[in-house]
Amino acid sequence: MAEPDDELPGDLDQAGDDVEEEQGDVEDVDSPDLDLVQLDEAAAAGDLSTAEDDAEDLPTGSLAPDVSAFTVDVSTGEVRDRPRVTTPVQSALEVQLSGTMPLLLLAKSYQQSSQMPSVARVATRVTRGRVGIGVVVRLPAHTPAAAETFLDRFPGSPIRIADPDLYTAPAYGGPDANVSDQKAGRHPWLVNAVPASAPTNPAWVREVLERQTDVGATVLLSATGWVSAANGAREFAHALRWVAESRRAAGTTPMFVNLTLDGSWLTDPVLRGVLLHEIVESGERLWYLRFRWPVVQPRYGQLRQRSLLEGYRQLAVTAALEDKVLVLPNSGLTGWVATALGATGFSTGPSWGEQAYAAPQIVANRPGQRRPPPTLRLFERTVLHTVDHASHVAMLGETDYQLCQCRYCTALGAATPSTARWDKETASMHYLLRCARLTALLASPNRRMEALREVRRAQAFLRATAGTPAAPTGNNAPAHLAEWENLLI
Amino acid sequence: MNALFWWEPTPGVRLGPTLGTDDVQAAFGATTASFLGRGAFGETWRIVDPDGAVRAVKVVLDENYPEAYLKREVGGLRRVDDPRVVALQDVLTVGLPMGSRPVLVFEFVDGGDVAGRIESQSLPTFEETQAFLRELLGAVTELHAVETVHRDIKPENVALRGASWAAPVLLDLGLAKLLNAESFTQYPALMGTLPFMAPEQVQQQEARKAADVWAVGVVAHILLAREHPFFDDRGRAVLADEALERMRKGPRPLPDGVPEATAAVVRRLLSFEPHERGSAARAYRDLGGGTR
Repeated sequence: MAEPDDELPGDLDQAGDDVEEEQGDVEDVDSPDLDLVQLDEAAAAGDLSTAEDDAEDLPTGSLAPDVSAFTVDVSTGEVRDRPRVTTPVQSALEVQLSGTMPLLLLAKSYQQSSQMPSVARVATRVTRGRVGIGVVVRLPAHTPAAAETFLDRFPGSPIRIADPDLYTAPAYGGPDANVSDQKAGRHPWLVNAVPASAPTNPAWVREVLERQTDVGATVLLSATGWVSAANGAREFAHALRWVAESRRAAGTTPMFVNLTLDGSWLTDPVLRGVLLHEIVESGERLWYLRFRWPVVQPRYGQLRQRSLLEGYRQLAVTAALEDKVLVLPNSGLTGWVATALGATGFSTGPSWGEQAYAAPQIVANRPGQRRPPPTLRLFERTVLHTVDHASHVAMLGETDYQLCQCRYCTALGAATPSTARWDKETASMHYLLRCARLTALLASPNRRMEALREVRRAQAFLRATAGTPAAPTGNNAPAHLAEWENLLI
Repeated sequence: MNALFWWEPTPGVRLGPTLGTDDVQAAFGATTASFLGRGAFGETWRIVDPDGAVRAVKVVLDENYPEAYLKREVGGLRRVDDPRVVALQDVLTVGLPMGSRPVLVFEFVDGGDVAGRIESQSLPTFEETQAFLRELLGAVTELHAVETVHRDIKPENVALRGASWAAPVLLDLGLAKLLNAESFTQYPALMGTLPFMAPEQVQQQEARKAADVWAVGVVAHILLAREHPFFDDRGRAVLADEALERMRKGPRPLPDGVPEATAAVVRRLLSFEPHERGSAARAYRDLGGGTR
């Protein structure tokens, strides 16, 4: 069976042409890991530039300089921000779960994930171990063997999560309930879930947790799924009974309270009060809360709904004040802002589905209509936004433009107007590495100010280029920056 | 709900003992026995054993006292091992003139309780109140850490070890409840003591940890301001609706001179919305109590 189109940066959809995101079953076929040998072969064939790339693949503990951390001013050729030579080390699991360091969880997408282990290694080095770089695989989307194989490729990441994606179980009545026959065959526990209002089933809970550890998860997610906003307080109480049962089964193994909720839990004062009260009251310290957003436009853009962002702010601040470890899966850079405000971390991935848990935008194709050509996208550190290639090129020559010199941008030829070497997976890996660098900024005593400084730097660039051809417009314009500033200020 | 909400620093009626001193001495083989107080279901005595050991015994006199309450109190106390929560030493059945009765045997905390100090106007300084508040929050933090909620924190249920404001001891877990157990209280039900009840208790909802946090706030406010944060004396008692309205509007201001750290914590503990009170552990940390 073919894998579904995963709509990665550089994928087909364009503004207004989004198609319904399909996250059906996939074969457990990862494209082969792009290892050093392949990189060398590709470079030899002229298919890939590996300039300044070799230092990044030195073994853990290498004292070699990290070239990807260099920033080059293209107008002068001057190398800025030369990093110190560091030894890449990930802190121990208990340190990463202590809430004292920011976490970035790399979430595997259906496709384009072969280079993620490499990203984790590079991210560890360039962030000098100040960020916990973890990994998440969606358990139902893989055979157990494939999930185990994937997690095995991250031996340096103490946090390895196998997400049971229980919010997709029909029993919970969530909006994205969908378990195909193939998934049900592979993971019968998914269809054996019962509504949260039913008495807890210790055997089923134990099975859900064991399936996670079977594939190599080091941190468990509780056997809980979608929490309906209708009769929210009652539904939440039901979910917490299953959390308690999960805790009994998990024993002393680290476990996140794993809940997936509608965005109204952040925007509605009553629901938000219930949620925050439970976080304050609960003896559980680790929380993994996924919120479903409305349609986000454009895809690969950022959440701009003020009420949702304000809800995230209150959640993050409460978690920090109560010494709770809050991780926001599938929240992309909204999660980064929340981390600046008090959350411990977030997850994101190469594809839009991992960057945002949002309602799909459904656009019908007209009969005979051909799909438009792929949009080549790149996450721009300069404006904290994903833009198309033309906008990227337009910004290149600007004085304050910050050219990324990471191995992936080098491979893409991102410093040139050419699209000859453009590749969406490589662009995605750049995005993940940049997320790691942004998260490293938050490993500071005053993380909110660090994030605000970054946002204002991006705004300054926009002001400087306003009215010029370099100014990003339309979907390329980072309209979220003003909202982020409001939150952070 | 028809209850009236008021608070006065002196109890209206002080109930005397129903047991005789001789009966108590005989029942426990004590050399001396002195009456400490009487509650809804029984009374508490101070006894001295022949070996000189001093203990407090809580004799359950009401035949209808639910056995589940007794087990709950015993369970709550046994889950906590902290000098700021009274130590349960034994659970007995003793013979009394009216028949056999269950008894809880506690350490005797020598130093009186907060209610007595309020009544005698022997009140703490602001600095002493801050220490008192911090340590009382520490006691509640320990209780909450084992998923137990007291549900009846009030001046009568807080002793002062060695008469020191810096050494409060939480007493009487008769209404305490293990939070992750199935409740045997059917809500709506009024559980607690009216002037110290949190808004959600007044609304006859389940009392959770946040209700204890609120009650600590009320006690601290009384010690700092010499008045209840919301209610006046019996002559100006208010009904539940008015009580809730006052709670929603927020507490009366604290006097000038209260250290800002203390004032901020007390104001937060008296937030109408439960989640805005934060946890006891957070308030404990905020007052320099450290991390559990």
